[in-house]
Amino acid sequence: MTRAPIFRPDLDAEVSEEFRFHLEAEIEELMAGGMTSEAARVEALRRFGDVSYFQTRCRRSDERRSARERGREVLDALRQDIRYTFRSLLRQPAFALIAILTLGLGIGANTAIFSVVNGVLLSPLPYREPERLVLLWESVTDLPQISVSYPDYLDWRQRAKSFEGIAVYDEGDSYTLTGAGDPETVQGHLASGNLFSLLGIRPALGRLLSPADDSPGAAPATVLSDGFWHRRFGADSGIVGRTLLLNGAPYTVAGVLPPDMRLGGGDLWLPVGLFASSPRYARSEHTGLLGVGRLKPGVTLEQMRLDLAEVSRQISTEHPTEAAGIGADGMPLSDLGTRRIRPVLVMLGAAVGLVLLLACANVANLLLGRAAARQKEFALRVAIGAGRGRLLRQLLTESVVLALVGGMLGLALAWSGVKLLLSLQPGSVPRLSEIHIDGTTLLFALGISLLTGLLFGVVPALQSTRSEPLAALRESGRGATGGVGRLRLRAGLTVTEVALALMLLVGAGLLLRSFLKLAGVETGVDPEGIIAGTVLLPERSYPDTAQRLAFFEGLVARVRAQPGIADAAFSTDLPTSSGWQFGVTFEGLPPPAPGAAPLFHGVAVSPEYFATVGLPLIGGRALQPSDRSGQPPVVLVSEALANRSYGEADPVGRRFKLGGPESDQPWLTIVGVVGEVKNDGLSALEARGTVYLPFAQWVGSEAWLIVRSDAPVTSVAGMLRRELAGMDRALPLSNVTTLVQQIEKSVAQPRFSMLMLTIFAALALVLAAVGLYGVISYSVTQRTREIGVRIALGARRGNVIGSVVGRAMALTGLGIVLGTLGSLAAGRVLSGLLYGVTATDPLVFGGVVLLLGVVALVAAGIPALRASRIDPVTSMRE
Amino acid sequence: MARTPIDLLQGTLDVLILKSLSWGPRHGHAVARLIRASSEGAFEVLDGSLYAALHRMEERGWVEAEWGLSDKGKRAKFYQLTPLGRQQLKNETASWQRYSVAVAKLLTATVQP
Repeated sequence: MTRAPIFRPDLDAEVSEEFRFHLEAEIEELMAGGMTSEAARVEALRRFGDVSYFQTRCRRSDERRSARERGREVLDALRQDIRYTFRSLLRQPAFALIAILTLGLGIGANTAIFSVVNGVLLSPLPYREPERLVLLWESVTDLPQISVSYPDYLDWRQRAKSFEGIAVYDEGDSYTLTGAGDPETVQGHLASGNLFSLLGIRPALGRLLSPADDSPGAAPATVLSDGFWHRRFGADSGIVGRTLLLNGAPYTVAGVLPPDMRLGGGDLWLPVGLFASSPRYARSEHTGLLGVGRLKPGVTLEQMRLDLAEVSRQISTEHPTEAAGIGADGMPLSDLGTRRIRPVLVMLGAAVGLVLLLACANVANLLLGRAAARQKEFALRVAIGAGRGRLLRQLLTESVVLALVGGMLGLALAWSGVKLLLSLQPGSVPRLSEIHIDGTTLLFALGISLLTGLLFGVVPALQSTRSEPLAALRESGRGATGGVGRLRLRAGLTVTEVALALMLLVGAGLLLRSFLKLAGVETGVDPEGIIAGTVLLPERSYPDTAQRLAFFEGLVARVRAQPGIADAAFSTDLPTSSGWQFGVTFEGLPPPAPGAAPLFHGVAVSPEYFATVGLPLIGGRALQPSDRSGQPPVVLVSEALANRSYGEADPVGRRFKLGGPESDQPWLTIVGVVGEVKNDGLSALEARGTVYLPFAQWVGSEAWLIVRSDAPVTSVAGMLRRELAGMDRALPLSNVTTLVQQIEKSVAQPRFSMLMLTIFAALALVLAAVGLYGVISYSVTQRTREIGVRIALGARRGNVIGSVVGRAMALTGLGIVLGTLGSLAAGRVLSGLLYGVTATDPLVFGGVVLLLGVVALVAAGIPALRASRIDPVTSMRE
Repeated sequence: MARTPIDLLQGTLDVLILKSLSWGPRHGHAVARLIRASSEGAFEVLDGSLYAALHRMEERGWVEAEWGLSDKGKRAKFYQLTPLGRQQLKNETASWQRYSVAVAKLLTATVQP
């Protein structure tokens, strides 16, 4: 507790001295009254009491007092430092403004990105022990990620040892809700009854699904999402026990989910067990189910993988035709949705980090320039007794105050930046609602401001307090070149700025080129003017396939007759977003190894489909209205399928069937070949190939109604709804979209990353250009006198300018080399985000190097020219 | 904490010290002499307690101390009232007077109230 008394008076000695004085005076007085010296001594001590006891008490009081005083002194000094700082900053408002603005931009960008990272990546899932939850899927040789077959899932539950429990749910399907006001298409998820207890979710109302709801004879139950409950039923708490008609079948509302249920996102949940006997959930069918497992405590992902691999091996041995080559894998549930955005955020985090470093370098440079000008002031303060520590503290106070004010500005910028970000609605960023400026973000901003203040402040502070006071005074504040140390520091700053700016600009350039390439990708169809929506025919009202086909054909005929409609068709999927893949067996070709069969996209279409979406016929004939049930089964294939399977040979007239060699599907005759559509997303490099089946031979209960029209989307959609209602008043038109929107979705994330990085790179370019100009032009200006002397001594103007500019360009060159090395090292972060461009794209690197070179040349050239024009005599007298 | 006679004495001692400093700065020994003389032996205070009280009052900011020279030219620590101490003395005196008047009234009463 007691500290060595170095800077304060020895309190113990003071108390002793005080007591000694008292006792001596007392003894003297008693002796004056006639006592002997011995008796007086005894009496004085008696009157005093226990000396050492009182000494301790006095010293304790003194220590408390002096500690308090010291605290007050430190505060006083700080207050003084801060007051002094504000005064000296106000004296140079331009400097203060530029520094604060620079820091504000840097800190603001970092805070904004941090708040996104904090909301998207760091906030925990609202489930019980979320770290033990995993998302599970299956795989086959040709596809690394397919949904889970229901019987396989039941086998997992029996055999896998890594899990406390496994549930399944699907990504949702459309259901028509009737019997409660207007008919509406709702999104319903199927889930196994144990899903909610496995996640650890409690109902907001009533009860959630339980395993009992999965059993075959159970009364059909449904659970509503919080959003749907509010939207459709006005949060009516009497909803529990009511019956809803979904696709005509009755379901009893069992309960309502809490608002923070993140899985799914649809309107309601149904027990998958009710549909277990449907052919959709046969072993060979992978129709949209995903697994959610809760790992036993201590089980790692690796152990889980081995476990699943073993179970999958058993399944594929036991069911060689339906489950050949099946595998399974998983990832932490918290990665769901964040897996794709994570590299983007890592990249953006790195980018804003670079921006902040750049801002630091700029402000450090400004401080250096200021320190040179204040050399005399410092020397004076040292001369009148300020210690180096005191001066250092003063300078650091200045930089921390600058950084904190910059931080406040940054916070304001981040706040509005995040608002802007959210208004852009980057569709690919999950958990957007979690993003806001909260306490954690504030702490981050504060921390980063302090750190920044120390980072840019400490080197210039050390640098400017090191100099000899006497020498500085004698130099009358105008060093010839500012000292060797400072020169070296400035050279370092120049190199750093160039390197940082190069890395940022290269990153932005690469993403920009990727984006341009991606935006220029041909989708294979002509998306302009295509408007579409889905129609779902409930099995109860339309039990018969002929009835359904007649309905869709009638609807298309009605729509085609409308004015302003160039073309109309229907299909099971929109181009560029096929959701159905299958393996096939080609007649006359050697069967592929078990499990190695290639998978193709499949879509059932009406004959007008190809003309409507602008997909060209390349060989053979198109589909015809006569290709319907009862007629020979025919099929069109895309170029890629033809090439992958038959090579150069003409595929027309050949036959294949869906499924493996033992499948009892009919042989389909290829009658034509059409162009390729990017069905695997725009960035997929190789087309998988697509099979086009005639809808009339493969009638489903749901279809996209697709029209081509130049009329506005809303009026076309209104017309489609009217025509639909004209055929059946109970049917809604759902998912209305344009093909252009559909395609843009797959470009949304690249657009978002590119936009953000471009903003940061533009910021970096400005900071770097200003900083580079500042650093270089300042050091050239510092050499004005030297330039004057050399010209006076007869040096040629051109040579002098050349040497000054040459030195600046040499430093820039070094920065470019270091920045290039850094960019190449960081290429790994970027490579996953690039499309059609390598991380070492010479065009981007060349362009950026050229840009920085020009900035450096201008920054060095202008002041050098100016310096060389000054009359040598003037420059020396200055 | 229960109010002990020591506490009472301590409070009283504080007032006495403040009073003896009210005429001007003096060192501890002079304060002790003054208190002893004015009390005429009515109560005895250990000199050590007096110093403990002085240092405690310095800690509270009622008095401030400075090293100076005594009449006989020796180094001594002189205490002086701060404005805060002066205020404290005023408050203490007032309440002491109220207290003693009340006690005196009770003790000199001739009729049962």
